[in-house]
Amino acid sequence: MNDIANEIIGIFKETIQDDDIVIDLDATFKELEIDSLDLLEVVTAIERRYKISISDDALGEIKTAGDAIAYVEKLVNQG
Amino acid sequence: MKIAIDIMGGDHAPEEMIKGALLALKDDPSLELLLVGGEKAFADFLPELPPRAEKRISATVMSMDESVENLRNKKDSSIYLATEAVADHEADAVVSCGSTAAQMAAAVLLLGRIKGVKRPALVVPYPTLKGNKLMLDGGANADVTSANLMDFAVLGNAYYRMISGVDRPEVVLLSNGTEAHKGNAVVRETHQLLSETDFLNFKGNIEGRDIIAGDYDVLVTDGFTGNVVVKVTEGVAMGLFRLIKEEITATASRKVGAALVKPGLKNIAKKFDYSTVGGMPLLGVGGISIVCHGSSNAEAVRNAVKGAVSFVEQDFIDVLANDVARYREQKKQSEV
Repeated sequence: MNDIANEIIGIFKETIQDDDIVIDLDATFKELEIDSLDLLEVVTAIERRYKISISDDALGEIKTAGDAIAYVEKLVNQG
Repeated sequence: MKIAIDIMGGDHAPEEMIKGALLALKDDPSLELLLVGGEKAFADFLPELPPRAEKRISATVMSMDESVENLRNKKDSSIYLATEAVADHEADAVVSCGSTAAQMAAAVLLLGRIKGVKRPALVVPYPTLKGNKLMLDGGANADVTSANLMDFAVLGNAYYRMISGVDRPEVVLLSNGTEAHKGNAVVRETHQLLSETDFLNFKGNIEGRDIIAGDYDVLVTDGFTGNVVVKVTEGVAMGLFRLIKEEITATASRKVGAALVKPGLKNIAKKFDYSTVGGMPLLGVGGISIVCHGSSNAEAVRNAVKGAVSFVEQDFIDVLANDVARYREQKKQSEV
């Protein structure tokens, strides 16, 4: 797993407040018991960490941690 | 020490916010302020910055009726920028009299939560016959679980201990009866959890009519009920004062008597005066964020800044975090 993936998983773990949880990249936020406020917290942390802006439309398409990693990697690699 | 002030939030912003900020600066020669607000606000009310104050220009304001999701699209709003200054360690605390929902959202998103706290709470001072007591949640979380209510109890307990010096504050749970079996499922479950722990000095349930008596230190309830209680209290108090005024001034002879009772009534009104309290901290977020009454005047803002300074000096967040950690550790041990 690359740096971005590891960092984003770290952000998810910090928000869920469980260092030991194994984040299944394909599990939906609902399955991970991440509610809408948790998700906003994660998204804000990601935006601040990578100095990017995730639009509401893009956010609507992000359903799993894997989706979030793929989206951020795409934005960061685009420069 | 530097305090960030959202000068755009509140019914009397920006003028009273700026006046209050200047009073706070005068009070404390070591204080520095970061004033966050619109270009026009500064041009109209503070064209020249005093020493120890700096400004940051915001482009928008979060209004009272906006959803918290809008905050994501208003990163140039005064409350976002002021809270961000705390998140970026440019300021030690933030003070605002604007939308409480927006302030809570900004605090959660930017400052995070204390480890172990799922939902931060809004604590409100409740004027009782035995002085101000604490009630939480005052309106941040309408739907709660028993675990959330336990967090509120632990946070309220830590906060009351800090401000009062009382070692074991008396914690009560709001219900529709004093018996353990009264209340909805969440209240009954919380009563059980509170009874099982010796971390808190739980004194049982109280009913709505007993809130005013003040035979407790910390009153725990959900945000929906808490907000209704606060609003009903305000309404009843205002209504009663109006009725008394009408009655004691109805005839010429009563008016003579009214003059005699006026000082007493003024004293009662003073006990309900929010400006002496200034502001209250959000409990459970990872930084100091002080919420003021929307109608705050300069005096209230001055007191809120003073409160913010005191919270920073007392390592407020660490105190709360330690208590939450101790409670969770004790709970874990008892489950083994």
